[in-house]
Amino acid sequence: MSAARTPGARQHLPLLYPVGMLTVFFVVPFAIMLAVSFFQRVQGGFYEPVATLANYERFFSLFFANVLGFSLGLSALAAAICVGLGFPFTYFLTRLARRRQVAWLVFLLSVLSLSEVIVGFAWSTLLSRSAGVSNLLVALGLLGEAESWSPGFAALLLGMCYLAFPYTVLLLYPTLARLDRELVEAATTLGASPLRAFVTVVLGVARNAILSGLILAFVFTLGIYLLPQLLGRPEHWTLSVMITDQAVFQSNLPFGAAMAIFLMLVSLALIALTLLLGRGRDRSAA
Amino acid sequence: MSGRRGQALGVRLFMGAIGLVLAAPLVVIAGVSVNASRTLYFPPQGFSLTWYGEILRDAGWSGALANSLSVALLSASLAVSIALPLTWFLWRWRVRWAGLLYTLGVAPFVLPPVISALGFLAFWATLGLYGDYLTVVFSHAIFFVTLPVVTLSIGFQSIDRQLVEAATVAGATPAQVLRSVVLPLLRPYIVCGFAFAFVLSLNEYIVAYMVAGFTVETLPIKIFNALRYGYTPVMAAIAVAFVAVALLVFGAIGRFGDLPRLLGALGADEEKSP
Amino acid sequence: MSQLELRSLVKRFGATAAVDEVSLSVPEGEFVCLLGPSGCGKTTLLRLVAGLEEPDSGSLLLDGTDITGLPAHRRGFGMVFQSLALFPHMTVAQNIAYALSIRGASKADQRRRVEELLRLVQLPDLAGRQLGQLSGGQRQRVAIARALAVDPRLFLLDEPMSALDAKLREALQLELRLLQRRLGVTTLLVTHDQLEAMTMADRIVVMDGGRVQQVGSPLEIYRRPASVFVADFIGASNLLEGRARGEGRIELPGGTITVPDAPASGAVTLCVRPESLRLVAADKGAENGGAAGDGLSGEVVFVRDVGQTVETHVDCAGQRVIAVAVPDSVSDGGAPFAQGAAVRVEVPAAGCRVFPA
Repeated sequence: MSAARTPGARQHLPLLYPVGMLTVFFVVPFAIMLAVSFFQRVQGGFYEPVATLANYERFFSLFFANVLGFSLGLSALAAAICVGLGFPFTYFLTRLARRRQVAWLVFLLSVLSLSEVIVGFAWSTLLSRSAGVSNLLVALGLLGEAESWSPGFAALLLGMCYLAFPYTVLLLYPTLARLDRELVEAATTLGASPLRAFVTVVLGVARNAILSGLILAFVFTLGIYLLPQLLGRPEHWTLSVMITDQAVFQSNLPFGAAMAIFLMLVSLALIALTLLLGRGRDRSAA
Repeated sequence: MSGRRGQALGVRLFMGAIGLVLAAPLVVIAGVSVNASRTLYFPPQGFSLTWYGEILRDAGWSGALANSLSVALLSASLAVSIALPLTWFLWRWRVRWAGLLYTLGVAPFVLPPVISALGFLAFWATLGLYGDYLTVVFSHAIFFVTLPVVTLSIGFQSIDRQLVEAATVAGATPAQVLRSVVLPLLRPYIVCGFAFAFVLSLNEYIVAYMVAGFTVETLPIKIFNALRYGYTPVMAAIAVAFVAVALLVFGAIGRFGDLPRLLGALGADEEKSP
Repeated sequence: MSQLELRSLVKRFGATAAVDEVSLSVPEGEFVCLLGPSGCGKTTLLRLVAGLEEPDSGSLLLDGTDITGLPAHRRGFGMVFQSLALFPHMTVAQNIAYALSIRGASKADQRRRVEELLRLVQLPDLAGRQLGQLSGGQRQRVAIARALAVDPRLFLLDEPMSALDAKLREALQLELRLLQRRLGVTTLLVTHDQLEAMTMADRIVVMDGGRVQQVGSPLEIYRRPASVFVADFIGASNLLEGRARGEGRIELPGGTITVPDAPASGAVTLCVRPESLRLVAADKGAENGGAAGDGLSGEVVFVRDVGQTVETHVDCAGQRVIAVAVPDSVSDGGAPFAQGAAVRVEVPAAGCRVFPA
């Protein structure tokens, strides 16, 4: 029985403000960016409304292909690590008593809210020669001399996973928290070992959540822009860095916009592909 | 039995290790922030709280702090003011394009931030307002509107419609129902939505940087700019302060609200007792 | 305290009519139960009366005034919801005083009225409590008190007892009935529990498929069900398939019986309450020289003796007949029949209702 009814024209009035705000400040900016990506750059100014495909053509150079390839690979790796660690972590988290869950969640949210700047700064300090863990290892006699591990590829990957991990956990959390414990218990009484029950039942039930987790971590890390500059070397700069660099420092908004659109299209395509693969497996399983 | 105990230990070690990695940078930062000298050393050499005082004493840092706090306050308020009528409408009425409306509210935060940021930049540059203080407020409000949209949607869903009907039959007009029943029940979710938007705005870098990076210095921007000239313990002190604020805000939500429910688990009252 | 009249109310959800041409007149002070299986439209009908749903057609009159288009908040009714719908952010007193505060009553008036109502529902001294501190029965009473706060013109209840356990439910049913009589408020209660309806109602409205099947006093509905559906839904019934043979004779498996107002011919369904039937041993029936035409012969297949009553299941040529009796009257004052015993089921014409199949 529905209490919600179909509204008349007058009942739509309260929408005026929120939809207006979102349209003016989100839809319109997006449309402008899309348009600008086809415009021509003007030295010293922002852009000129002359239709051109030049901004898109510029990608097809070896340099940008390399940057794109590196960005996608790095994000895919980070996403795999985040979900690989985050899934068992979230599962164990949801099995904890509610009060301890809350404590973990508060901690995760606090880490999640940290600025990229602060995370980058913190890790570069942690991996540095003067204030890093290597000092600890020296003190323990495991290392002869303190060394610096940043910048470097490993440091960058670590930082990216650090940023994306809390998001991944929070995305997996609802599915796993609502997972009926009796499912696992049923599998156990049917003779499955705990590990087998986890793999066959929990992984199976949460397949869609895992897929969304991978996508989220992937798209999220693609957008990370500061860490490559703080924890990586110039050869580790990702597309996001290039976009900002073009838009802000080279004052080439059209090219930056074109790259942003391209980045979004690539992300959307990969998301669609992942979903398609997931659905295909669903169908074959059914 | 020993196998089960071994498993429990394994789980604890695994979670402990992850907790350690998540906490490590925070610990190091906290240690560095109390260094007595101007260089970053860990373990710290000497103990001093001067760097925390420096945040307020130094005009550059305190200005950035004021900017960050005011932007976060205004943009979080604006975000809630946008999310509230939107989610109320979706709860109150049944419309065919409800999915589209919700997507509109969620999209800003779901896209890679660089893309939203560049969109904002293109928009403000076109309007000729690039660099203005208010552009940061509005951009953050839109960027983070997703958080109150999500918490308020959950909040509205948690309100039993029979409560509204009971109030109506008791003689309350729709406006009175909203004031006496719906809003009081929604209050914790409003606070949560605001808190999420506030804390994330405080930490946000790229959007703020793109729309007004050279004119309005927020703390994250100030830290990044300062990083180029070398690290100082002040940055560490600020980072610690940020972590403290986040812990405080989310801790309060965890203490007074149903945090697991907000994050998508079943409510404490609906959960089967183990 | 008012008189309510429903005229040809119709409410559709999509293609299905939840309430289909319902007309009903409820005199002042009457307690009416809307009774039916789930999905029969009783709750929708109550919500139409409350103004929580708008009818697609038809009208509602209160004391002769058309209130069809009147918004729910201006009807001045009191309603108890299935979930009780107590406001979780308010105390007991605030809940009860809600309608008064909406109407701008003074704090003193509110306090006085809350105390009065709490006494009425036998919960004195609970005004300051939080809802979480109340038991199920207490919450129930608070919901009733809240609905009665402003002397409603109509008192509506939507399955208010469904969450309570059986014992508490019975006690509250009685209490609610006495309260309603004392206040004289015109009352509409929705329930799927026929015992609840029979305990409380002056009149019962049996509904099915969005339509009213029968309206009558509890006894009328029990004794003289208007259809096979009503006979089956209210209480236990034996529904026996048979064939009319004229002059009131009905041929059933296991024998023929005579019911004066039976149709002249065709397939029929005979409804008879288990407690109307009498069982006698097969040989005794013959000894008494009873006419071969007024009973059914069969074999006892199952006996359920629960102490208070004995229920005997008899197989009459493939059709199951159930007879219920208090222990002493079973088998002529003797012990219950054993499984396998050959019996004769005596069917008194007065207890039978015959419907064309």
